[in-house]
Amino acid sequence: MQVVRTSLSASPGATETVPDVTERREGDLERSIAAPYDVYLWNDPVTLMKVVVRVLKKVFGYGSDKAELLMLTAHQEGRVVVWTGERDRAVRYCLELGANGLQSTVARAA
Amino acid sequence: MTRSRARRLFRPLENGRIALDLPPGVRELMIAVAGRLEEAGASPSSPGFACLFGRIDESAVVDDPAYVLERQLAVDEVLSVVASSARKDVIEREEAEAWLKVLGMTLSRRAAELGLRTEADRASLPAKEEAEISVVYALQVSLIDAIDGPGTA
Repeated sequence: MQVVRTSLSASPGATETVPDVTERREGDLERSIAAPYDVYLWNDPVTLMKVVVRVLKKVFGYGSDKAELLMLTAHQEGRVVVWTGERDRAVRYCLELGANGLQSTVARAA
Repeated sequence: MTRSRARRLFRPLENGRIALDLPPGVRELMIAVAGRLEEAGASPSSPGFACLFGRIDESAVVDDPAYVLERQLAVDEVLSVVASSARKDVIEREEAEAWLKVLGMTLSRRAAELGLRTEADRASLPAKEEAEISVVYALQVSLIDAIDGPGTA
């Protein structure tokens, strides 16, 4: 939505259309929250592979094959997206991974 | 990430609980690592603090304080469970899960303190530090085998 206002410029009586800044900010915030977020698992040189796979199975309910593939991808590529979806859940998963000693971050999905 | 070797320090019982068969000093070690995590959590300038409570949302300028608080409470809770169960002969599964979390965070804290970022850093680790990490691995593997059954995960 946009707001029409009388211009204060050199053309008396002229009107221009300008965005409602307040509303735009609220819209940005809503879109930001609604936008999908990625949960990243980062490789680290100390955590056992067995532990990583177990945590992925436990936190996300993944099967062994998927958990192992994600773990190996993180190991080889440095990080891997382990889940994508709503922001609050993404943060919650990230916190749970961290509570198990895994390095994890979230970021708005590309 | 690192491959594992097993040793049996925890034994599953028929009632679902877990019996502890730990060498001397391991209980004290668990209490000590929990204490060191608590210290790291209270020292914002320490590398351990950054790994425990570092920024999680790459899209945000700062993390939501509510998430930071939630994280701190979660850490405090597992540390408390480990401190209260470390001298028991038999622990509940939930207590065993708390032990696993503390061991996982301990490795993460230690890696941050030692500046370990790559497998190459890890390979050049002094024997003393490597031995400490090996003890944590043995505890983790034995705990997982006791909770989930041998050969799982």
